[in-house]
Amino acid sequence: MNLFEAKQNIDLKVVKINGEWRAHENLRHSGFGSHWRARRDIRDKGIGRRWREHKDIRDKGIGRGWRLQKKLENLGIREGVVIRKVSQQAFRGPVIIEIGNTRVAIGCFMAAAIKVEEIEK
Amino acid sequence: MKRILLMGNPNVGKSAIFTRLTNVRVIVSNYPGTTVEFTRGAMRLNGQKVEVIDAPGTYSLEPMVPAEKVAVQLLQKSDPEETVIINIIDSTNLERNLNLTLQILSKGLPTIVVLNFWDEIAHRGISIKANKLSDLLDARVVPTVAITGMGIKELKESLINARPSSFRLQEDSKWITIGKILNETQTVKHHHHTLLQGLQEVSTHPVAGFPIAIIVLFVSFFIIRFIGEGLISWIFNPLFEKLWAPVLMKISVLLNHSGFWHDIFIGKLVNGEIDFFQSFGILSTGLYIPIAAVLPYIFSFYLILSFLEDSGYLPRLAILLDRLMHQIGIHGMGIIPMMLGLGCNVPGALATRIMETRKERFISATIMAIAVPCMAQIAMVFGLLGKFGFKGLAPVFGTLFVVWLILGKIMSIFVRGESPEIFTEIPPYRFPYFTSLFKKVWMRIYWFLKEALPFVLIGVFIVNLLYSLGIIDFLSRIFGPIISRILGLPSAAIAALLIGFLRKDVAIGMLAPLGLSIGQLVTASVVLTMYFPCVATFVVLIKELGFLDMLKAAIIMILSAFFVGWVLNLIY
Repeated sequence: MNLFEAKQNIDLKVVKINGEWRAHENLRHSGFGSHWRARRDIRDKGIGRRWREHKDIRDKGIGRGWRLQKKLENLGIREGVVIRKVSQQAFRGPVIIEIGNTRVAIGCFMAAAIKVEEIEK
Repeated sequence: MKRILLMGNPNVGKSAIFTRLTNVRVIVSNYPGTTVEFTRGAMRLNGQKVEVIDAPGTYSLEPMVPAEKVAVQLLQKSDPEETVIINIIDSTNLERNLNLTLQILSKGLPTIVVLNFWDEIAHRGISIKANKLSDLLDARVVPTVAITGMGIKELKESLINARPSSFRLQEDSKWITIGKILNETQTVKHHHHTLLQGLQEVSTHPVAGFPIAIIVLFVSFFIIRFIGEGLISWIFNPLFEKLWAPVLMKISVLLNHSGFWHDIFIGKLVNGEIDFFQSFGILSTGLYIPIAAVLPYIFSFYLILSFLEDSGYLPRLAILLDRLMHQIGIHGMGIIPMMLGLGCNVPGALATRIMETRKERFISATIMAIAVPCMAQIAMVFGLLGKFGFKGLAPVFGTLFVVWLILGKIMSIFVRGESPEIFTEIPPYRFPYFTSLFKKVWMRIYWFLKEALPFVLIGVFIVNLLYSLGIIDFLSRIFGPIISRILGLPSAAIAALLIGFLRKDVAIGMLAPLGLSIGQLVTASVVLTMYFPCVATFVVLIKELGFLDMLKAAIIMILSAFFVGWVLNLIY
């Protein structure tokens, strides 16, 4: 289960943070422009640049140019920690997550790249 | 020791500590990314003058946005013999902040660790053993509350004996180390939700958030208009009409009612009297525009903006608007340059540094410069078109909003590059401290008076000079036909377009004596907003975007301004 699909206001354990190319694959055909936007993102990069970035992805796990894992880690969100999904804006808007006393807003594609599991009490 | 460098995560109070140490006033707000450029100040330590540098916030020493790059470069250039780092930590988020702290300590520079927001941890059910933390980190740890000044004295004392820490970080076991430190120093108890935390839930609620946002923005707008208009009609207008006008009339008599110097200082008399909107002398309109027409609005706008900033509402607005902003190719935080741009486009242009990619920075800077009028200009539009009420004001701001949307949409398609998603920390709501809020408002007003007043006076002077040397006549003969054919404005409006490069408020003021119809006024106001940024913004934009991108932006500006002006001319 990824964070985008997860229920709100329950403790969630981060299992894996995907930093792969097109981490939003599972959302690609779900309408509201995401497919079109994904196509455009790919089109906007020249072949050379795409190739270079692909190499980076293989070497460092950089996905869609976000360096997602690193960015999340800076805020303390990494594999194994417990987070909570606070709210989800409509129309694939940002997801707000809570870790400790910090609240972070992240985009829905990023949320989809974070694999979580529910913690049973 | 010659230099003190303030480092820390975004929104931990670096600027507040900086102000406490140096008495140099910098803008302090409650959202990550307030400081995008470093500020230098100085303090006395043991009778010795020491330079203090306030760096932008960064989450780690691997920068992600340009503002963070500035901070990391400052650290890397520091000389270990002469620099002391003050690493500021948000005590309510010890774990995340320690990540940067450990990276900084490992650099081997003398470091003091400051636990800021010390007053907030108690009612969040946290307790931190500062002494234990100090032992584990092998560095001095000082608890502070920057906004009230608690702990600043201890911080100053500890600076003298600052020394490098022996702590070295193993990158792969980083979080295990942090976990160990936390276990030994911090205990967290369960705490009850406070009223502010309840508000936090509601204001980012996917449904309830929107009516709240609309109410907040409308209330803000009405307060700005109410205070602004109130100050103008109850204080500044009477002051100018009753006290200043008679003085000017005496000077006018001394100058024999006409002549070169009379035109420059007093301007033209309208029916034998001074009209502060139309006379256009340095002492009449030149003083009236910045002080009586613009300053009240600057004051009321910054009062409200500072309140929104300090309470922490802006990032929430960014989250609510994120989906809309993605339509124009930037993520929600792009609302911050726009809001700051409403005050003055210069800080707006600087604030685009919180965006990550070139595409986002280009789009946000360009549409900000094109479609977001600054407060000085808005105030003048209010002054000129306010008498027509809704019918006069709505077309101007409505058109600008539509231009903002359409241009953004077009650019999001054609500007190459990526638009990453929003990624921002949301600070908790805080009650603004009114002393610091008013200090901030005063700083911005002072900045306006210092930077804008001379420009307005010079602008008015140049206008008069150009008129009396006949240059305006010459130019309006050449460009007049284009302007009247495309925009439907009298050829003398070329002078306003010329001066608009210097100051937009003066340019709008120059429309007053032309006797334009409401449609022409609307067209001219919109075109003057769009066609080019003022010189101050222009310089900052060149610095932020680079020469080539600025050239592209300028072409977009001029073309879109004339296109929109032409459309408006067709409508009216």
